[in-house]
Amino acid sequence: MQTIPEYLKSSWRGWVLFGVGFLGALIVGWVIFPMVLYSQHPQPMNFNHALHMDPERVSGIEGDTERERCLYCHEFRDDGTFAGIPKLSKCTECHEDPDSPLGQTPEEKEFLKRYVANHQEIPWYSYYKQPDCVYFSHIAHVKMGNLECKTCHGDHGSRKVLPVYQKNRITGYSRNIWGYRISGLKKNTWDRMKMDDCAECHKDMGHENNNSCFVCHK
Amino acid sequence: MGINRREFIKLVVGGVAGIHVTPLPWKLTDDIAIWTQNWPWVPVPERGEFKEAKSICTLCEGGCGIRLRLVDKRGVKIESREDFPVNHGGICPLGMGGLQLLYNKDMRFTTPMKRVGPRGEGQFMDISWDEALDTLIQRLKGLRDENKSHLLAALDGLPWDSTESVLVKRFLTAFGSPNYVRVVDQESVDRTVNLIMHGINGPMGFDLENADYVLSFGAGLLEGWGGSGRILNLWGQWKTKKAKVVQVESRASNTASKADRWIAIRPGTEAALALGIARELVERGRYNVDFTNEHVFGFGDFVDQEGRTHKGFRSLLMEAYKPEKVSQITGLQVGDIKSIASELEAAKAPIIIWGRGKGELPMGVHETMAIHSLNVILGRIGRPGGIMVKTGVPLSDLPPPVLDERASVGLKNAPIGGKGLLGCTSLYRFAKALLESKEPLVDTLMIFRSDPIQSMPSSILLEKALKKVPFIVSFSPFRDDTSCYADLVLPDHAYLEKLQELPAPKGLGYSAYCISAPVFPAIYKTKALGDTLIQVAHRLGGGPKESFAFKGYEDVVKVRVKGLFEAKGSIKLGKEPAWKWGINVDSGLSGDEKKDWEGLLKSNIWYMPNNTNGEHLIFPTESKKVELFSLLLKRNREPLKLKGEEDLFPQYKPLEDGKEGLLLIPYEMANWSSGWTPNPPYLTKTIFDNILLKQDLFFEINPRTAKELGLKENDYVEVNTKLGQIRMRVHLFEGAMPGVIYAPLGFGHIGYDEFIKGKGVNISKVLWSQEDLVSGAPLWWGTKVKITRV
Amino acid sequence: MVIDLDKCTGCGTCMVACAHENNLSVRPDESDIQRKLTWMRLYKITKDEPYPKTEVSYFPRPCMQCDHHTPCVSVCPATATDYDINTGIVSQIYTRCIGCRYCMAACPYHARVFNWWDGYFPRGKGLENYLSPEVSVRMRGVVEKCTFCHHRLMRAKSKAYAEGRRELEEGEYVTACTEACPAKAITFGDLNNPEHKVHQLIKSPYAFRLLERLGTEPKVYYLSKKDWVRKMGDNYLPGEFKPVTPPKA
Repeated sequence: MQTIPEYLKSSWRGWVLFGVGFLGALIVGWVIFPMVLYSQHPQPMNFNHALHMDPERVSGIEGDTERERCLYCHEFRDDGTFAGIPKLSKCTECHEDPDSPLGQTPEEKEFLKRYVANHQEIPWYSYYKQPDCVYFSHIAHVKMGNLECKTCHGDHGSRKVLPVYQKNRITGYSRNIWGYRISGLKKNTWDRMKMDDCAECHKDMGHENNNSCFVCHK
Repeated sequence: MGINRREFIKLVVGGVAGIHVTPLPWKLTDDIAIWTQNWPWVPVPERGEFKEAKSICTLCEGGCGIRLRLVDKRGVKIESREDFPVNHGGICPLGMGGLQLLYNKDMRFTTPMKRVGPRGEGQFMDISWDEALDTLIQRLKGLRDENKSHLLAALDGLPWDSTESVLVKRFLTAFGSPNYVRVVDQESVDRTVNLIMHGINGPMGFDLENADYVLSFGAGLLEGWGGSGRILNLWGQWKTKKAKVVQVESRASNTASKADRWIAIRPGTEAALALGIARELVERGRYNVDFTNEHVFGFGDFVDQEGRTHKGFRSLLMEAYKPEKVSQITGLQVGDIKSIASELEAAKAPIIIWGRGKGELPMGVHETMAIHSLNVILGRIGRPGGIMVKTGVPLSDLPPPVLDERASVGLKNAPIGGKGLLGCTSLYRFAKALLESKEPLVDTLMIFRSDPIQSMPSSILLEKALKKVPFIVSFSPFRDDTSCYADLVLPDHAYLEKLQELPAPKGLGYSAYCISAPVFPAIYKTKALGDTLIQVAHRLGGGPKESFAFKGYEDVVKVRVKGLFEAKGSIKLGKEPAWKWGINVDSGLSGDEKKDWEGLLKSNIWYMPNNTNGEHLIFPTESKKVELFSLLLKRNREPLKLKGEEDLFPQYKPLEDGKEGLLLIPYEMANWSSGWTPNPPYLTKTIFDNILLKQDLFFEINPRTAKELGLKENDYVEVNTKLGQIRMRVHLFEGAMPGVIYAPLGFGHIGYDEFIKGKGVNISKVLWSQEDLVSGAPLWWGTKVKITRV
Repeated sequence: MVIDLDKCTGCGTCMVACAHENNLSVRPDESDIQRKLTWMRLYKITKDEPYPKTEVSYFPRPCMQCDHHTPCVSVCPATATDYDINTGIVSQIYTRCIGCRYCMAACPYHARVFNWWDGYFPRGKGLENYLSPEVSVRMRGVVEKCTFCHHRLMRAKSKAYAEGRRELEEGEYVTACTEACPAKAITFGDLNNPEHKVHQLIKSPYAFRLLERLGTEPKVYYLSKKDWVRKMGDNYLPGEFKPVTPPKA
């Protein structure tokens, strides 16, 4: 009579351990990995987009449509280049006026003291900054292509609080490029900003010619 | 309960299986791929707003207008200005690469420094401005206190008549030293000739824009002669409007090859050819009879006040420059001489120009006069497309310097090396005087924007002479070769960082004054030269302080430009190009000094188009005419050691350093600086591998000559001149005249940084030379060499 | 692009302008020909005649932007180089390049160069200060080449868009070398647009292309009235080259 080998005896234990390993890996992959991958950088100060976008509360920012109001601060320069995050001078255009409502909260006081008084630019983190090898023309998309800002930037304009900037520790890119879903799946057009997303949209819009390499690479 | 090996494996396998249904491996792969595309040491240029600034380029004296492309406050590109009358859209490689000089830290003196290593090694230690100024002032005060102010000397390489140069000269006078020294380059020779022949102490201009036939005696039009931006642009224009260019040169240079006709002449005999052509024209009677009668002195034979008959230029030509003889001297066919004469005859607006390479290496005064005499007999002076003799700029004079007692005592001393006709000492003579004297003649030498170790022929002599100077101060912003010998450095701002000005751009045919406000704030701890001088003068007290009663350098410039505002020029860039004759320009002046100053800084230029009213035909010589027989030279015959009466005329003088061996002729390139300005690293890309390969410099030799000597392409050889030995390599080139070797200038630097330091050899150093009696220039084109294969 | 070789003075401004415009790497050992990185390169040619009949001339050589069977594109295993049917410009994407250098072997014009080393930017030397943000800086291990200053096309387009135009005027987009050439020997435009100057220039009997018979259809034309210069543009058998007889006026 043969004896049952020891390893078969413990097979159920083996399967449990397999499961533990499997589950552990799932937790590592889905939960811990994204936490470790990205470092958190709060913006130097808050900026209330929602407030500034509300024509009833802020009168200086002109524009009939949402897009025009975005473009009031995130403007195009005369040469057609996009200014991106506004410089301090854009803020002080309105806020230099002592009557402008600013300086009530401690954060606003800090803004006046630290940046405005010293003529120092605010070191904002840019959520949507593409790597150096990428060329992107805002004017081609917004003015000529008639795209809404939202299409790529989502509801950023209606946020009261700036989210914490998350930087990929390996690549140095912003988390917004890959998207917040670690799976990389996207529901909305603004969920991800990788090359394939640009190409997909170009194709969908019937501009497949614009998928030539040099259109977006420099 | 413990986990056995098998169970552990199951755990791991579970883990591995699990991880594959998470995004981790896929995301990680992607991220790592991206990571390898963005190494942290590969710089990412900062983005920003693109802006444009207009300025002028002062890397050479060409006076080109430039546009700077800025990203926020950072300069990223230099481009030329179409609207600028000097260069009308032309720019040279050096000007193009200027930003590399501005931003490259190791090429510059970033703070005051004092020497720590042996002289010539270029090892310096950072010191503060206070310490630097204290050191200098203490030394200078010491000299004055001992009544030895004449032991100070200044070597000035700043543009002639520039405010900085005026201040240097003023400083020296107020201090009490007669030792104002300049490198005698072709600009100085031209000025000397201008003074001798036309009585004007100022630059000579070439109205090339209006010429239709350019006969160039060696002028490297495509090698950097007369302000590259302008000339290279003109070259394109000449091709379009079919102006003809004839190049007289021994080597198939770019100019010679690209010219409509190349006259391959024996080097150094250009003057003989010019006089041969002149004779041909005179013999045919096809010279400008009216002009010579009315405006020229000494053309025909004449009787002086004492009743003695003198031979004129014409007789001289007839006797000494017969075509057969000229043919023998120059190695050209008689037919060549005659055909050039015929072409000159036929041309509507011919101009005869001269120079060697970039036109910085000096020619002889008599030689220059000989070539220019062609312009004289053709009446090509003060006419459209001709030679302009009065292109100086009417800047206001500063009040005369205040001389205190000490200064007066010091100024009584004779200048070391003697004073030339232009009121300054030739560096060549100065260096020789230092070498010959047993006593120390100089205590302190100040050097301004000059790199004679690199640019002066036979600079090995200067190197030895500098050893006899106890204290050398350099004010250069760049670590040039000569500054490596300095004991103390008080760095000036680099160009674009300071108020730059340039009176009379090199060779321009009309009066112009270029100026630009600083484009960038100073990057390093440097100080504008003008301000440094003012500060030093103030601290010296006495006469120097009183002579420098200015708030700052800018104020001095403002005082001087008042003269421009009073003259009838323009600060407004109009549609009509400034080189057109007799145009009425809108002056753009408001009469308000402040406004006009701003207007001047905005357009970067004041200019005065030439007038057709005959004002260019006034010659303030003794005879009130263009002098082919120079009365000025006659008066200075003794101090200049001139011999016979023929020395008062334009003439050809052979120059030879023995009969044996090959002739060494240096050449220059538009894409390589061989003067004070350093070479931006990008220029190295433009140098062919048969000119410079790794650290080795090549000379060009004709294949036939090489065969006779048993030399092959790429051979290493030692080249021996009387002054020293250099190691070079061989490049066979059909465009080289048999019996002559051609080596490029501007290499073998001991200064600057790893991009150019130690690449090639410095040819200037070992060029044999002989002194020009009139100007004190080193004449260098007779260098004989022996070549040995290594 | 049309380059008038008779106007070209061989000064090298185009090379410096190109290097500056495109953030070319420059290293201290650049005087070694094998390590020299250039996009626009000047070739010196010498007429094969004894002194003093010899003369020199120059070929400024950007990327030819071959139209037909673009040699480099057809061999790239990584699709790092591609032909853009809109512009006819051959692209090169550095982040995609795997550094196999197959394209360099394929290019008959030696228009491609390889970054054996990273760019030379020692800390604190200040060399990165003049870099333009319009062109990305390359790393070691990738091939690069002339892009006809594609970023200048984008720059011109953005400007046109800002002014509400979709079409570019002639001269709005020119390469850095075209703009820099002091003698104005280079003309740049759309070869297919009959209104552009280049369209006229290439009809000249003196116009030719480099190695034309390879059939790569380069978009860079040269002009020279000198037979010996034109003859250098291709490899001819003895007697094969036909000089142009100038049209009688």
